[in-house]
Amino acid sequence: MAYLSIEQFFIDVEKKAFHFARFALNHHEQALDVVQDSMEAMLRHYADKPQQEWHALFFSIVRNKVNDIRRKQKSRSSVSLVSELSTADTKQDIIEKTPSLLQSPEQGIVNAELSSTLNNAVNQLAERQREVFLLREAMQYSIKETCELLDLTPGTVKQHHFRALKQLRKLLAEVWSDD
Amino acid sequence: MTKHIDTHQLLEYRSGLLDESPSELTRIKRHLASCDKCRTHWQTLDTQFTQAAHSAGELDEQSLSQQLAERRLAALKNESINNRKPPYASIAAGLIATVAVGVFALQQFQNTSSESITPSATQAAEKTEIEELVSSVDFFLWMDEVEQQESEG
Repeated sequence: MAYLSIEQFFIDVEKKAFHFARFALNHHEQALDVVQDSMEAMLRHYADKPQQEWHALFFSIVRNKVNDIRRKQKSRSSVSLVSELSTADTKQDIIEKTPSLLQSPEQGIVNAELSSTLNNAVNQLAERQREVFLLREAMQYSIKETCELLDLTPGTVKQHHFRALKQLRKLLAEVWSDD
Repeated sequence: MTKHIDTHQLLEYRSGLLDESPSELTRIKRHLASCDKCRTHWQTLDTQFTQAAHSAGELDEQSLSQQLAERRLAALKNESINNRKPPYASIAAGLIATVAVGVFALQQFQNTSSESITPSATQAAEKTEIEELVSSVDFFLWMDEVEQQESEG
């Protein structure tokens, strides 16, 4: 696609960049920061590059910024990991919440509690699994688009997706008692 | 009818892992089209994963472009505040003026000093010359006196 300006390019890719950053970081404001910082970096350093390189360059910047934030978060959280683990929603928490959900499964309505339970389960997935699952399932991105966003091969994307589905089935076994 | 499809196979099918096995992919598609039980199972899985994805992937992106634009504006304002430099030009001009005045004053002082030293030196030199002249005149006068006394004597 030919762009008239780099601003037009940004408008075209900002949503995808935001989706990736949002799912990778699981934080709305941080995701917005990443997209904005990436656009600034792109403008400063690569605006004069040929248009056909913009996409790869931009998403490479976005990925690097996401990884930087993750690294910082990991180094920060390593100190308080034990306390976080003790308060985090575990599989046991999810199971404990299920009786009330199972009392009225016929409602077929994703109420707030069920939504929270599903959310917690997705957040327990490994980083890559969560990203792939949300990009593929929530955003309906194709395998090719997901590969481009995450810089992964199609085989790896499929593997992460499969493992995410399997793990969710395991985590939500009590909620999804259809077997 | 082929054998029923288990959950594991359905997950492989959903994730695209069966794309590399066309025969298996065809078998599953055909079976799903003909088997109510497996199709119901597939639809249940589909609903569950879709629900989970939408619960976790619910995004506030109604005004994504606006939110990003607001952030850009805020960043620009911030940048302009951070980039507001001290008045280097004024400081430099002030420094230059101060140095210039200082140099000028120093030169003036040196000129004044040299002017005050030179006359006295000149005067001293002139005085020495006069003294020498006077002493020379005295010498010649004395010589005249001596010659007169010798001629008289």
